[in-house]
Amino acid sequence: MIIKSYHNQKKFFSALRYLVIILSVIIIVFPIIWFALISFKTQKEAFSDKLTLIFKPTFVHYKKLFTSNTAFGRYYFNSITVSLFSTIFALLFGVTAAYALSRTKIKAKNNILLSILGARMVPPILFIIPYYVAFTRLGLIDTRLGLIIIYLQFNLTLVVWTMRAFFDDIPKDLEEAAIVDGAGDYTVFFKIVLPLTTPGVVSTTVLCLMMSWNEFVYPLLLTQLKAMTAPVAVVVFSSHEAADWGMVSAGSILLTLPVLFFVFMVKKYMAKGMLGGALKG
Amino acid sequence: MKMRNIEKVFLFPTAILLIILIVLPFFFVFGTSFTDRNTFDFDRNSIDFVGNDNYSSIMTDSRFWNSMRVTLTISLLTVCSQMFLGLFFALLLWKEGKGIDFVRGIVLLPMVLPPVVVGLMWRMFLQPTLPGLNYIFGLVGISTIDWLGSSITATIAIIMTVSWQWMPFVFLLLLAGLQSLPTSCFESAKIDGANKTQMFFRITLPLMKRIMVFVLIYRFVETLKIFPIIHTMTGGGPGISTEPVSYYIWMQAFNSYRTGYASALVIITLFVIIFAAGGFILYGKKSGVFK
Repeated sequence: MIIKSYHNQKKFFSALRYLVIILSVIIIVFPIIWFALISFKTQKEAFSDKLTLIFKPTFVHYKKLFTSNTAFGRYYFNSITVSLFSTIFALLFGVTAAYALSRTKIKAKNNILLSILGARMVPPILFIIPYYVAFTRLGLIDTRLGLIIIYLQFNLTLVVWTMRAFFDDIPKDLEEAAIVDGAGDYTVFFKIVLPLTTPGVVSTTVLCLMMSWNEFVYPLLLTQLKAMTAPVAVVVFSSHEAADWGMVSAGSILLTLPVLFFVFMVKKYMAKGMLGGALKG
Repeated sequence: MKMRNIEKVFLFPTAILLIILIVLPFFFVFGTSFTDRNTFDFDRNSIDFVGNDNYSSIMTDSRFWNSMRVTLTISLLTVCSQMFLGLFFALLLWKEGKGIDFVRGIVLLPMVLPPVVVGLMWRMFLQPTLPGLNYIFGLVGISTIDWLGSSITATIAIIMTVSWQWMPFVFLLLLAGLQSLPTSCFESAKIDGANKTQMFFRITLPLMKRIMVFVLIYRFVETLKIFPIIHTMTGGGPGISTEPVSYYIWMQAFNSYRTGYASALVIITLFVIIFAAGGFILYGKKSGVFK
């Protein structure tokens, strides 16, 4: 008797749990679906009094993004170029520096690492005045090269801090054994250590791409029409007098797709990467 | 201790880059904060040293202190609601089960959306002229609210949006924390006849305290940067009621071209951040959360 009621109670709580889970998922996902659907609705459907979830989709907003004089394609391409190159440079400089910081025995090591972490917490707006002055002087305002350089500010610190944690996880015995066998420092790094940290490099790369792709403050203030990136362009669409919400939604969807794709590829490493490798384990 | 050759070669270029990108700009801002610079040109003929004039004006600049209050209010309240929601979801999805792994992935969704998209999405969802949240409220008999139209509801809307986006981050870390708890504690507590509530307050919470405080301060420092969501949702309005510090600095530097004054604002803001971030780093070091 007691056992039976215990089982019923357990069943009840399990059902309750799933009910709460389903409700929560709806709350989380509903705004996203609602927003995505706007991009497939005509202006009239979107603004109707009733909320329709089933309708005949239109692709007029997506077409408009690329055909009218909005030049979204170019801004999208700018975003891709800037994110890609800034990530590549950050990896080139950052991975090697992270290795050096992981292995070095100098006293300043901990202070260097903590200042890098500290620099990551400074809001971008605090750097904007000196960057703007320097860029005006160097003719880098409204250029993709300018953005690539500026994005290094957050990408480089991210790579150093995250990769250092991954290098720390690799036992030093391996390197020592290779050196006893006569391998040089550089051979050890490129042939032994680097291949072992591939998961770390992959997840760091994705984080850099994501941060660069999502970055808003720097391109908003340091570019005009030529080097404008996609996030800024979408915001510009939305700030027109009569904002075309269908187009804003379509642009946002296109902005989100690459991030979703990359992130779900490395879901496993997200926790470690998002904290900049600050967490143990 | 001497550095090996490889360490020098690997460290040197990055060190130079970081000095150019982070250290020099800081000194530039610090120097500029004592001048009446009002241009972005490099030319320095028109710039005079004004001592701490800028800093004494800040003391009486009510719009700056308003933006500071807005930033701290939003940061504090969103961090609390994120913690509450994140813990709720972590406990809800802690134990394995059918489809739980899939649901965990879904819950992470808001966090990976670009902040600009999140801001635009919620702005549209809350708009009275579109059948969004107001439509759903209408179904249960709540009359239409112009969320972004008044200062209190706009602040609530922003807090809601930021929490919606970053709750998954707290969830992710707390879930990782819960999963690494030793099961032996719970087993022996069960044998001793502890019930679920007791186990939660006496075992789970104390064991999770370290990571919770860590996440709390981290999210707080991160929220101090808030810009894209506010830019897309309210633009600081109505009036200046949701204008954060970063927004006000931007206005001073790029709309009024008061770069000297804006630099002084930057330095003051930096102090607040150092205070918060310093707490974060010290706590991380002391509690051993950092490696």
